[in-house]
Amino acid sequence: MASSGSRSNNRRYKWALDFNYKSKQERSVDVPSPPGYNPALGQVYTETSKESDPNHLIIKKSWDLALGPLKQVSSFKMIEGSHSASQKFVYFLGNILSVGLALFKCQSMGLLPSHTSDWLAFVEPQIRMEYSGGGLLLT
Amino acid sequence: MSGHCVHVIRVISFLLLFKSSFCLYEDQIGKFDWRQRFIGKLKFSVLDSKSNVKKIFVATEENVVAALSMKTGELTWRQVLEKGPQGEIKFMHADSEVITVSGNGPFIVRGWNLANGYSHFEWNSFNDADEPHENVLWTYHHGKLYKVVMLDSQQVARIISYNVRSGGQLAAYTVNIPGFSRKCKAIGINLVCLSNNGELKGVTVVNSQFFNLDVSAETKGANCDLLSVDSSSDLPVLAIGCKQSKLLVAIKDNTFKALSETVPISAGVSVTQHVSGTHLIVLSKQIDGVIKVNGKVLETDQPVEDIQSSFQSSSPFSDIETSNSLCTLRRDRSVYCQILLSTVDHSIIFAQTSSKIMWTREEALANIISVELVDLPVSDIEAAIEKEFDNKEAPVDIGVPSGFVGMFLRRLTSQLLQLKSLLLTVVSLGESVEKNGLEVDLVRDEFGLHKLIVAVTSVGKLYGIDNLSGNVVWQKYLGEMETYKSIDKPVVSFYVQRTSRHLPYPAQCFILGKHKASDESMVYTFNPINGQPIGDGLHRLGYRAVQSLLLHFVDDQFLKGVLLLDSKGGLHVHPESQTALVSEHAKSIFFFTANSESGLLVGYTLAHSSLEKLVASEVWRIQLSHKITGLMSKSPLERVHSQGRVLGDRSVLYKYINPNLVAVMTQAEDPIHKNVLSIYLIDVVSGSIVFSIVHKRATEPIHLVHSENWIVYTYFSDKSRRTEIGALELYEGKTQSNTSAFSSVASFDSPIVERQAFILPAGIEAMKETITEKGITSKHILVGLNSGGILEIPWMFLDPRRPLGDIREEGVIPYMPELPLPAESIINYNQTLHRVRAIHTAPSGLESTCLVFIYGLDLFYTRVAPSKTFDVLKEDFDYLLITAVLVGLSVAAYATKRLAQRKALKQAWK
Repeated sequence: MASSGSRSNNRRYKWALDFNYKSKQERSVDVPSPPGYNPALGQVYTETSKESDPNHLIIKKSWDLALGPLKQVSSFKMIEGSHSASQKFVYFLGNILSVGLALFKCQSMGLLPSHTSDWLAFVEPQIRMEYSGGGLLLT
Repeated sequence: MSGHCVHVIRVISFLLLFKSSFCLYEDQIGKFDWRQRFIGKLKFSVLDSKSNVKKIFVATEENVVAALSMKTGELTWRQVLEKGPQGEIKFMHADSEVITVSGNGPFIVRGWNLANGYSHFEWNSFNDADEPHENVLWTYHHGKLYKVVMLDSQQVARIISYNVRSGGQLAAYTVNIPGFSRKCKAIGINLVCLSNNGELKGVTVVNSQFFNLDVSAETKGANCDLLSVDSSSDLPVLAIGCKQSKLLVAIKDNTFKALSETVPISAGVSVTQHVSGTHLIVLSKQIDGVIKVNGKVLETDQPVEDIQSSFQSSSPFSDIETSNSLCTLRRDRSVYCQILLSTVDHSIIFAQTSSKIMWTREEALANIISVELVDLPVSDIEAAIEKEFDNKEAPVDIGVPSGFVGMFLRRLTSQLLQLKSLLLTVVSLGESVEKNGLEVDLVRDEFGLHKLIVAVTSVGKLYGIDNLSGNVVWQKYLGEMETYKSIDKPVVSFYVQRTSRHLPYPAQCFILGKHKASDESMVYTFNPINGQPIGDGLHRLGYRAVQSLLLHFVDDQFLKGVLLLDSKGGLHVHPESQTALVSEHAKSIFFFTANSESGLLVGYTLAHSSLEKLVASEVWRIQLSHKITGLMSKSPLERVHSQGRVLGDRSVLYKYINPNLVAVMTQAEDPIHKNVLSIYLIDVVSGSIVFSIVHKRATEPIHLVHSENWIVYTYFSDKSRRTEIGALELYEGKTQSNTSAFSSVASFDSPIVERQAFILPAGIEAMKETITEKGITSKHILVGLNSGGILEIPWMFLDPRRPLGDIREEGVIPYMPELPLPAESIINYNQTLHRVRAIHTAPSGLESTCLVFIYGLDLFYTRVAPSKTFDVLKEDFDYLLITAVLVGLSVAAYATKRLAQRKALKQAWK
């Protein structure tokens, strides 16, 4: 988790730096700068340009919000310390409760395929045991 | 109030849905459908030489009066008279108008306009109390219609003359004919009778002048009949037909004149005007499928070389029954004749001597009794690939290395051929359009919409008809075979034993009929794609089969056998090589017979069969109290996709789908309730009566449809004087007793039966349900109305669970007794179909589409999509637009990518 956090930090840093670079060009970061190019100048420039744009902040915040539940998925591992066992249990219980609530809500809305009618399309036709034929006598 | 409003809106929206789903656009007329109109077997004909547009006026056994164009044989006009004996045409004369006398009891005299067939006049002629209905002869002379009634008891003929236009009686008198037999004919102004001792007696109806001729030398005491001879001249001629030959007799100046020579009985004879008051006899005869025509002068017996000719066509002709001819003198004094021939297989041929056959009409198609739609085989190239796979499975191995190389080479060649055909189609795209108009290859298409209609007619002629164009691909006349009878209707057993899917074996069909001369049964096995016999072809069985059954399993050649029960209770399999195979499956085979007259149903099992001999042992017997008038089992092709029905509370009501269930109808006359109609649902394996229902005062016409877990039947209610539709639906309940298998013998409580009745404000001639390949598409019911339309009713409208109160279930319309009859759901729009006999439905390769073939006096083919065509793009789908949008989007995506790259680079340099 820590590593991924640092990576994301690193990336954010990099991202802030070279916001306008394509991934293709990213690879050439190690290449020495061309003569007359001042990296500090560029950094300052991008920083200011970024801060001056409120749209970027909004997008970033929205992304954080949107990715929130996904990040929570692996947060179980982050519980550490002496009370970790009970904390883990409470965390688990809380999750179960929220899943239960979701299921109850879905059930009350009739969204769960809990009736036989929901599986009717998958019912196989009955196999015929006897074959019959015939009809009116031909005269 | 608001709830009621919602209710009404829902109903209306449903009806709108119902309407919009069937409409046909104007430009779609004739795109998916075709109609062919027929007239039936020729009875009377007059060749018209006076009108500008030359026509042939005909009256037929199907009670049709029509005018055919001499050039093309197409119908100029057609009038369909009453069905059955009430419309039977007794006499036809064409002069300044076409005059017909039809009926049987009160006779109806009608006059029709020559050019357009409009009715000019109509009047009735009633019989006196002492006059018999039969043995009434009619003749026409100079504006007067003569009715000759044979009074058998008094040995007199009563002659009444009428004014043909007004129906006013002009005169009535009797003529004594002592020693008269029932063999009489009215010809021109003469009444001619043949006595048993071979004496020909004639009397002029105008002045009662008698004349005689002794023909006993020619008839030789044999059982001879008087036959009429079609004549396009004023000279009355008739023939005395005996066993082998017929003698021609002309009446001239109140005397008989017998012709010196006799002609064979199977030759067509007609008389026509010739030069300077003489007359010409035109004889036509079929020899080895070729029609030979010759003629001679009646007065001098001199042969006329000019008209000697012979005609042949791709399929052999059969014997000629009647002929009519019209001869004219060319400027160079040579004679040529136009001859109209009617053959025993009901075709009408029109030919010109020293020229060719002008046209042929296949009138047997007006009497189709059984139909199957057969899949076409795959193209030769695809067949080559199929063969490759087939070879792999073949037990005979050629050896690994050679087999490997050979197979590789074969694959290469077949794929090269495929490439070649693809290139050819691309190159000749423009040209092929014209070619396709003439001849389309009989090859299976992608969607299984192109099939071959194989039709069996009551006269014993078979046809293969292309379902897309309506053209007759092949025809075959089985002269030796005649049809069986079942409830007074001609029937044959007609099965598809093997479809076209089993290469390299050809498709095979099976027809069971009767031998004309003996009591034995006959079987014809043939390839439905070309009509050619397979195996023994047409052969006699040596016993009389009374019932047949197509077996459900195939042998190693993918052939389904046919089980035949003979009149002595013995069992046979066709082909006989399958006997051992059948005995393996014997425990699961059951069959039943029903005797229409006695109302007795008997069920049999094959369980006691041995490997060598099949034995049918009786397991049950039901004696119904009345005559069986109808019996309907389910289509063996049918598949039911949904096993139950979802109720309002989301539980499932499981369908009672019993494949062995048969609906049996009985009708009886009752002193109190008049006509009683009973319907029994009988399981023919166990012999149990699952359900029965009785309708009082219900009369013909009665039709029944049996499919899935429901039965829909119609009858005419005498009490309310309207057509009513009854619907029954069977359910097992909320649980299935056995989810995997259905057995009729397993103990099971009787099913829940839902029932409802509806009113249809129309008369019904035929009824059939639609069928699709997988049974997913909803079912519609096609109803042939007596007005000539074919109505498509969604089964949803006939659902017995349509609620009387509020709507409780989804997709169920509230009950209304009257069924709507919207003009949009008439699938044959303005193409009126007369005397619909039956509707045949068949699945296509597309689940959404059902192929419909309607036969009767007219033929109509179309296709219906009960749940709309959900699996194909609409034909107005804009391919161009979609392609343009797709190409545009990809180009735009690429361009913006380049632009973004450029912008990014620029920004980086800032």
